[in-house]
Amino acid sequence: MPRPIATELARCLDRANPYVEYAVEISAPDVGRVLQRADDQFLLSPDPQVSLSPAASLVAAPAGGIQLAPTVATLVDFTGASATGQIDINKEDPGRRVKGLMFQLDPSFDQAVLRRFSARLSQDAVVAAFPKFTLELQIYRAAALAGYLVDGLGHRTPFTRWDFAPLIPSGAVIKSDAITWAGGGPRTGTAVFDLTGLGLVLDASQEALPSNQFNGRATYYFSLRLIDGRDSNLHWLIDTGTARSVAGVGDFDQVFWARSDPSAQWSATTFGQAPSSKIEIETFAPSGGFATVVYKIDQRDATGTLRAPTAGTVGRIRFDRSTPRGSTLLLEISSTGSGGAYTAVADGDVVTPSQQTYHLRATLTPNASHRATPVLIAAGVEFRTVTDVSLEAQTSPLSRDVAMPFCAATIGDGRVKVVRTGRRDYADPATVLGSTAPTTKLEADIFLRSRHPSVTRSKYFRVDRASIADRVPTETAETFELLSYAALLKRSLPLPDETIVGTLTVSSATATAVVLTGPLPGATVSGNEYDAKNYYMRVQKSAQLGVETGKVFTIAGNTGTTQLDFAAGVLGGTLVAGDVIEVHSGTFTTGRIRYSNQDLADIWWDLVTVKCQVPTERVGLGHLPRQGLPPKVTDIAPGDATTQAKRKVSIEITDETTGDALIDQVSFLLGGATVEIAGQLCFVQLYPLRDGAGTSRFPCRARRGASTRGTTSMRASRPGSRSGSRR
Amino acid sequence: VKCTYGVDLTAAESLRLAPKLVEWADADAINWLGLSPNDSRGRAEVPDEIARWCFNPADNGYFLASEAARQVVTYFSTGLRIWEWSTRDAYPQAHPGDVVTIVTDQYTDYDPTGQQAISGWRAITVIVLG
Repeated sequence: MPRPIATELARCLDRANPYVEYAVEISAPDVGRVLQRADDQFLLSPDPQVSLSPAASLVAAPAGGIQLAPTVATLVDFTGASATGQIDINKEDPGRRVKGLMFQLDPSFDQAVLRRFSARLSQDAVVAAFPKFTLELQIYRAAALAGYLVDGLGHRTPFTRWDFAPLIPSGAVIKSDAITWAGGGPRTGTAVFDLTGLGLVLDASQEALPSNQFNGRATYYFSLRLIDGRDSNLHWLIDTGTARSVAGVGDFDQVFWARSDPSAQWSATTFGQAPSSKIEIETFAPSGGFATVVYKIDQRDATGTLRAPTAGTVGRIRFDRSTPRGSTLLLEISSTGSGGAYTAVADGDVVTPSQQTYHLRATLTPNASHRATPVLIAAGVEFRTVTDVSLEAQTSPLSRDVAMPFCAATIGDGRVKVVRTGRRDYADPATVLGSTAPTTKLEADIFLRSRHPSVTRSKYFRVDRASIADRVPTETAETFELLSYAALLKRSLPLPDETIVGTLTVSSATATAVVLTGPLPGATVSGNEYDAKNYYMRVQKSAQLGVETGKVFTIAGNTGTTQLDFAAGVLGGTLVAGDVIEVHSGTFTTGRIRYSNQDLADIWWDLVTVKCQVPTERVGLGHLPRQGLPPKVTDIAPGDATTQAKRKVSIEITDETTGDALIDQVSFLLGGATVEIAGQLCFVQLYPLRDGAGTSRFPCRARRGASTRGTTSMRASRPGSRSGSRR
Repeated sequence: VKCTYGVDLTAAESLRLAPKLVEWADADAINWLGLSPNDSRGRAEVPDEIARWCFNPADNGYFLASEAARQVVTYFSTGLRIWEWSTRDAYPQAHPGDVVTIVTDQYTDYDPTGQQAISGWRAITVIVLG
């Protein structure tokens, strides 16, 4: 799914708007903590969640983030089965015929998340047997565009252009063996399509232009098609008795859309009856009407160490959320403990006072019909030293793309040119940044903003967050070269192995000997393995003068397994019990990366966060499936231990390569790519994965109410299109 | 598309078996393109750097290798289709991996599996690559 964008800003982007522009902030990060995935809430130790009321009222959203826990409710159920009529299910060409159940939403119906669709079927016996088949469900959203067809002589004929946008990218599929049947000739059964996690939203606001066949209301079609099996053998039962208009929900009918060939116009036929079906949706109704969760936010620096913010840095709220119409999500902050007092905040608000620990309280309220839930995607506080260069900047955002078919992702770059505006004192932002800040510790945040009064700071859209790799000073400007955070993966792997390396604690010491609490690596009881090898000791922790942290001393040899010997005068002081030292041989052998029968998702995580040392807060993104992390074997083949075992890997890699190449290889086997989005390294699914039974488990997600708005631009870019003007 | 598998790189070199091969083909596409089964045209291979990951004790990596080849065949058996287009409105929120629908009458093709000509107005589901 696309990243959420504020409605007010999206409206400003709908047409040429001189008030939309880039905003650029260059900053040096200090400390921060942003909860942005279900993993942050459920897996972090200690769990940042302080309290949740009511209990179990929140869950990880299928598309990432935290949302209200759903229950399943029946929206409509046509249970009848006419003895005289039924729909033949054949191998239709969806480009020429769409037939099935029409659902025209009532204008007062807001939206609903689909959970299941069931169709009641009958099948005829052929030579006393029932042919096997595979059935596909596709849900289309109708859109009508009015315009003119223009022939070669310039004659214009008015027409209505119908589009059927499929919402399920590869269709939902069920096989005949997965249906429970009754009767012997013909037999009847119900095909149940589980749409859990697909994020299919029926949205009454997705209206289309009205026409003589169409009243303009949002309309969806549930269409069944045979993709394998025998034509004219399978039927969809018909309900002629149940009322087809449901107050506050909408109108239902059996419909055939057909056209003689793909270039002809679509024409609809309705039948005044409904295919026997059941639509089930998700409802969100926490007891008390809303859910409240409190998180404890501790500030951490880039190394993960707890630390109070540095004086002079600015703390800002990060608050990413999705709030479908009618639902609300309130975020409040307390600097005086979990009991409050709490103050409501928005994304980008400056936090005062600056301190190490805050408490955030989020209140999630569904809409009045309980069919829409807000989603908390990210929440936290970030401290930085910020310089806003929006007025002086010329911006080239990062480029990024994925090479198919093997899913190799590129590492994007871009630049921000900051014009010098200080004429005499050179105290302008560009000169100050260029002359005082260590370039490689800077980050650039590029936002899209509007000067329209309804687009406040919290509604800016973060286009990019990138590291600054270099700066090029000229007489008139400082040009900051931006590099995607995916560059962190460009690390040479496997790292070479040191033959002797270990971290040990000092038990006692003299001026020429250090006795350790544990055994030296590579040493035996007879000792002398370190003698005259030029191995060295590095002090990791000591308060003694002369042997302070970081100092390095050459080892003369060893006695037994626990004593290091030094030449007289080498040690600058005497270590004491409890000091920590490292021993190194300084000799390296070819390294190796070895995984034994491991889940590819775990290997991906190890490569990214351990081998390439990407900080965990830079990995994943809340709005993506599985929060931007790859699917585990238990996600792909739940409950199927055999297939799970087949999706694991054993490998040892010794030849030198780079981290990003290995991650691309693993990503391909997981059916996706690892890309950088707004400063976060994420896994995105490109190929659907299948479980052991051949069912797609991770279809690529359709965006909400698949849009057809790109249509006209594509036509406009192709001169000679047969279609002319459009309202 | 073929993919090798079955080499246990964690074992000593002397104990490693020769790689096995799994191959996926789209029979409808081969028939439509007029290729013979032994024709070298239209063949592709999962790169060795990826294929080397295909090993595990459960089935020696057969399932993984098979899926690696299958996912390429399923979507690209009649060719890799990458379209570049610009939209009238800005969509800064789009990123690689997003699934979108474009509606066009500017595309013609043939689906050998469904034996259907693809032409005229179509709503086509695509994945954003960049």
